[in-house]
Amino acid sequence: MALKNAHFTGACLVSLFFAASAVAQQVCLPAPRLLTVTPMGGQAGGTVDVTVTHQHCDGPQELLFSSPKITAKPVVGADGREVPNRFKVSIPPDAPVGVHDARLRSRLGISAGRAFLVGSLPEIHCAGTNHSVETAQKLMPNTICNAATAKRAIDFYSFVGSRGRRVVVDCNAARIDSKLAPVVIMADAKGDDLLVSRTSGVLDFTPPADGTYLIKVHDIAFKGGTEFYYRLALREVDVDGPVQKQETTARVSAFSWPPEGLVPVAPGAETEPNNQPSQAQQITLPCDLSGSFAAATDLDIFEFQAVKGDVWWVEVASERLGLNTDPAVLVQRVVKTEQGETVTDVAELDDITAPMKMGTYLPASTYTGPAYQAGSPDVLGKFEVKEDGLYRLHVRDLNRDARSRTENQYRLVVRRAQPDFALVAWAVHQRLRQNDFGTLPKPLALRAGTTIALEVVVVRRDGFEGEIDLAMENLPPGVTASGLKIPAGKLQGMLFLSASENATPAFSVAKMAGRAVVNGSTVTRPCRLASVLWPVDYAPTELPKSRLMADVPVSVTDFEKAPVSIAGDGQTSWEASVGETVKIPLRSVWRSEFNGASIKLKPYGTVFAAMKEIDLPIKAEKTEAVLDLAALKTPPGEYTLAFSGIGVTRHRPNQEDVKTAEEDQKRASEEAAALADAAKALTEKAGAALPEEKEEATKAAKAAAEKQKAAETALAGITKKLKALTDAAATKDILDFFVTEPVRISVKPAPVPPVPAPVATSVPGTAPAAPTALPSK
Amino acid sequence: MGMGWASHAAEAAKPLNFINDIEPILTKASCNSGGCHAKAGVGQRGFRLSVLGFEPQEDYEHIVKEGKGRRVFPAAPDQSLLLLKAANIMPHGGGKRLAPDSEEFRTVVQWINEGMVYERESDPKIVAVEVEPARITLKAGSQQQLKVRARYSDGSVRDVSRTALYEANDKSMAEASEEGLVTLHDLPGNVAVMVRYSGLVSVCSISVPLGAPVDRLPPSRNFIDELVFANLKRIGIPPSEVCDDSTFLRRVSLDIAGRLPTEEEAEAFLKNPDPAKRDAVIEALLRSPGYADFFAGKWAMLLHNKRDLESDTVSNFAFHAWIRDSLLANTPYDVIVRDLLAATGEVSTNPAVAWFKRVKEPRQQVEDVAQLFLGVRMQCAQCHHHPFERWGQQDYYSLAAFFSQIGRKLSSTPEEETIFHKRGTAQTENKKTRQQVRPAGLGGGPLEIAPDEDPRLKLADWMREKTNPFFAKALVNRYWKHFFRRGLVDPEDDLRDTNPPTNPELLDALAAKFVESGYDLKELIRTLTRSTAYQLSSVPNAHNETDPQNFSRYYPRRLPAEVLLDAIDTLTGSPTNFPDLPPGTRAVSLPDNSYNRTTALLKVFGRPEGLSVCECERVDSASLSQSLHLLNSADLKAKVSGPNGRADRLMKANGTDAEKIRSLYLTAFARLPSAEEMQEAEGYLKRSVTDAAGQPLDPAKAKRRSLEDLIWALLNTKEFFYNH
Repeated sequence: MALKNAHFTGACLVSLFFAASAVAQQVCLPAPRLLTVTPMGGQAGGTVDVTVTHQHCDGPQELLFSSPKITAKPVVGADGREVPNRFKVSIPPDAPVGVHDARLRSRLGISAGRAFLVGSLPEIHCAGTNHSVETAQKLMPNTICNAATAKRAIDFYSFVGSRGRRVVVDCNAARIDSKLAPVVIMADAKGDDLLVSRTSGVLDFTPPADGTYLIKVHDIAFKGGTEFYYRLALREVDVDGPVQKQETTARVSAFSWPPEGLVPVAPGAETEPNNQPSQAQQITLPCDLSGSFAAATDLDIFEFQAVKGDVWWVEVASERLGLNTDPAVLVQRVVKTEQGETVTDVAELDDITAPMKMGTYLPASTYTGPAYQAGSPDVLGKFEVKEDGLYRLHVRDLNRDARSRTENQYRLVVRRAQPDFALVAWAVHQRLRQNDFGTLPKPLALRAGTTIALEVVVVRRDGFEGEIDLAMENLPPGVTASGLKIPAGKLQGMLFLSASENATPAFSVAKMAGRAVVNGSTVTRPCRLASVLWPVDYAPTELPKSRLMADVPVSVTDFEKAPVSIAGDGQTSWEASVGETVKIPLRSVWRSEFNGASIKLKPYGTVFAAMKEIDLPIKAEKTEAVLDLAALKTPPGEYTLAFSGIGVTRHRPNQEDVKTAEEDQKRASEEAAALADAAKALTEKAGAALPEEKEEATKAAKAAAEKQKAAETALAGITKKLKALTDAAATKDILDFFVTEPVRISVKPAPVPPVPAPVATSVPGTAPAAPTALPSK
Repeated sequence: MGMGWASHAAEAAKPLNFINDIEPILTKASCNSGGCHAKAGVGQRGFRLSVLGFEPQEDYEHIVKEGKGRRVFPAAPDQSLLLLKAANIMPHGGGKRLAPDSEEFRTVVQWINEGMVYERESDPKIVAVEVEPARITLKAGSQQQLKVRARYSDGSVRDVSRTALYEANDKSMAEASEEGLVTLHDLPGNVAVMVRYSGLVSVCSISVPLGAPVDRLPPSRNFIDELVFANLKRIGIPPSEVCDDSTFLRRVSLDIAGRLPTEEEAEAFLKNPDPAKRDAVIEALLRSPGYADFFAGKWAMLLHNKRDLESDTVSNFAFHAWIRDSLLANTPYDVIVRDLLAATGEVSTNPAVAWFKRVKEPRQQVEDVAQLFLGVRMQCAQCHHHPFERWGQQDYYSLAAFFSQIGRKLSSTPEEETIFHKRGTAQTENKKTRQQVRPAGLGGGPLEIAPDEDPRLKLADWMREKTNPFFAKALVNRYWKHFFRRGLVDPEDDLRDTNPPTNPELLDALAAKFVESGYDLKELIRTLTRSTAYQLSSVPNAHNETDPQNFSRYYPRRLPAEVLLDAIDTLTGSPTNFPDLPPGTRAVSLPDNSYNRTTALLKVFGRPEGLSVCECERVDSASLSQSLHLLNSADLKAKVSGPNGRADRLMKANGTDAEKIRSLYLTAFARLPSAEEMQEAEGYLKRSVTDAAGQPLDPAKAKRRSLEDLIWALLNTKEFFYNH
């Protein structure tokens, strides 16, 4: 209790700190972020008008999709101009049904993906005024409704049910990036609850009588807003037909499934009853079968013969299939005697260890790592057979309890070692200051002259320990990638994406991959990209959620250039021998004001971690990185070296907008003045007009006055907009980290010392003088 | 008794031992009470004894050996520090506990003299304590001397009446003196006197009949009535009449759904000539979500659904809703408990795991499970033997062992964990003996649980065995109390031999029926509320006014805080706005305690904070602040006079004053006003009203104010804020 209070107080202090500092200093330079697309999908073969919300995607916009079949055009208003944030999306009949990533490209570049679904049912978009029984939105069976909850409100839908005609309601939300934790309720016509689902979003309901039924939807804690969107499907289903659900996005952990070459459907199947050793299902190794944890307290026991000396790898996928399961495997040796049997545990296999520890905000409420769960509760491990004989393998779900859940499936693979690996990467989020509780989606949207760092992690399969080369291709012009290796036996490496200082706007869907030598042959495996879904200000109460993106969109812009670019001075690769000292000159280009005296540069990666940080004075054009390979004990090898440093830049955003608006205002103001003059003249003319011309002149004066009024109203609007833009364009102090363009260093083995002359004397303890490293270029 | 029990004096020839002869003296003299030398952990002034002598070996060490034996002086036994202090010859914080000329004092002297034997192998051991009489019927105001005998392993029997301890379970009915003389007060009914000696207990059950003639009984509608009326007949208390329709409708709506019947419901019910209409109302209420809301609130508090941090919100909403949905679906009680106790996963997919966040320590898990689901209070047994019970530390740790394999991982919900079963042998260390203890149900032997099996499921299995002596009884007794205000065993979660039910046959029958129904909670409520006993009037007859425990009439009770708030909201027509919840949410549906902070009335009227597993956390008693709140709180004033409130709407509505008054009475009391009430109210609405300056208000304003006054007056009646 005391601890809790302390924690709570801490949290309060922190938010105060935030409130105070937020005014003075923002965290991270603006990056384009697509927040919502409403509606969130459409029927194949149709078009749908969507509205987007975003951060930092002002100016001309382009809505793109991970499936090139889906296209979008801006909505054009009556004035012939594009209406910001609105698009007409065309979904051709052959667009694949399922989840796609929508992303918004604007002058700062490309945003991360937001789920956009293509379905086969007719869709409607509900405006969100259906907060009572009386205002319930009518829903036809076999339709999908796109909607969002409002704060402290319940959405009502009505449909006509027939006695015995089964319907399934499926509310797709959290798994399509929404912040909504949906509660779905089936109620009678009065609104009295009949059946409730709070965990799965799915209701399986067979009306007891003909009549009107209500479906209610709300957030578990009655939160709401455009970010709390959902797609509600109402389907009629055969009495014993399967429950069909909408497609969902993939968890980050899913990157390591399936293993290369696995057949899509398991050849074998688990068969019940097998909960008791006496009922064990007989299998032979290797095996590949599908099973189910469905029954309450289910335990699946398999029995097989194994031969001494064999090593078997066991992999179970269930959580990575998107289920809320936690499989565990136990292998036992069974010796049967006349008295019965003796059983000894051989191996207990549990989670796939996270290659990089996921960040938690507990208990200290501080950032402790990335917001990505690359490990999994699934199983990947091996057992060694020490004796010939009978063995049993138990598969169980640690999340099992008294409840029965039919959806909980698994795939069990037992194989001889097939060494391999799987990769996933994400743009680095770095903790920028004490009590930094925020997490932001980091799209691969580069400013000219910027370098973005990505963390790459690997799940190694079946004993593969070799080093992995990381690379990226199909990048936009002006963008290059250089990768650190994932060293042998290690689980983590880095990739750097650099945009040249004179790059022009470009976009492409890139490919990331890792290459390694496995069993003597070179294999290449794709590397998936993961992203955080929402900007989160205070992660202890809103844990950052993340998922795998459909692909790897990369953009570069010159709308804004990097506030500072730091790179090797005209040279990108270096060569040295073990034990030498390498001096690498660095050149800096400063395009923005910075606060403080200097930026302290620290190297990435473990190899150079012991290096002293470099103090780069603000505005200094040159500095030097000194690598004492002897002190760092750097072994021979190829290395990529990049530094990062935290600085506060004085960011002056959107000056263009202000300029345009100022011009608009000037024009409007001149126009208004001209009209005012004209009106004045006409009024005077009317005053002095002859009686027979009076009526006509007065009419003309009145018309001119009206025109003048309209122009003034327009001017007021433009002035207001200018003020908003000027405010938005005010210089802001932004705390961010800046990555240097990486350089390559090739460390060669130490030269063989010359054979000593037979009579020469040597002084013990003195090392030969380090020769000066030579640039290899 | 002709057998002539061997008296203590007659045994004097035999060498004394500590267990049989000295420890009972220390207990009788309260040396080892919790407030004195058995104070937890410290004792008094360095001298420590076990509570009520449950650890004689330790006590012996402390008396004879600790402090280099300074507490006893074998050379001159009567000069022993132990005795000098006990007799207050040397200054003693506890005062004089033993008179120097008493038999007890002499016994201790003799024991020291004989060499301070702890126990010889040949010494008999105590095996039972028996009280005489064990069951008796006595007149109110009479007295009865109890005799207590101890039986030993060698077949010997001792009269220990002098050294035994006596305590009545209902002090308003009877008191027992130190010597075992029971004096009955004026109240009729059943009372038990507990007798304690040397770690064993026995009970004398006394029936105190009123002796009035019971020649006319209302019709029995089920076994409850048969057993309640049989008891009333036995003790001679005639029951009240069956209550009228209005009273029934209001009572049953409040008790099942925690709400007043609507005006329309009341009107329709009163008009309905169907003789089965009461049963029909019970069915309708049980079907309504109001039932699930009301009982979920009750359970959520007992299961500690409390908000300490903002981040608790989601899990609190989810956990409360899980209970509510289970009740709505009428999930059998044993299944609900099983789902809760064996919950795994994380709160977003299985809200029941939230309980393991609230109840994190195995100690609290044991105590909560025992008290809530078994009606057994185990708190004492963690450190020492339960003084009134047969449960000791071994039982405590055996129960704790069921929770020994709970694994915890971080989850995707802030501040919440994933709960899972850690494979392995379930066991817990007995802190006393340092031995590992296997799981065992109370009173059962250790269970063999395979490492793959979640022991919590085995606990749930044990609970729902048909023969489990606690599980069903604890629940039916709890629900009985909900509907009848007093448990058959009271407090409702303190089932023990020494606190017997007032109607044991009824408790057994209810439990058996509940088990037989498949732990059907709605069926239990149906059975309870259909009974004539439940439907008796609260108006006493000439004989039963003083009956507090035999259910000869309905015992009125003040509405619980949430129900009261909803009733006020209904009558005033001004719903309370609760943070984070949709407008129109009723107070009985509130998920956690956080609203006690935002809505003063809830706090003032004793809504619990979810701190305790005991329903007693809910404050039923009256207080000055409650009266003041109803009389003149700003909240209430605003409700009565608020725009779109009932007064406002009645003003705007068509219809006569009489119709409006009728509507108010139906809403508040589910009945029509009497002619007298109508006349008075009509007169009040017609009166002229002056403002502060003494100027007459315009008639519309005057009527509006009078209507507000009338509503305010109605909600300040006992008839309104009581369920009767």
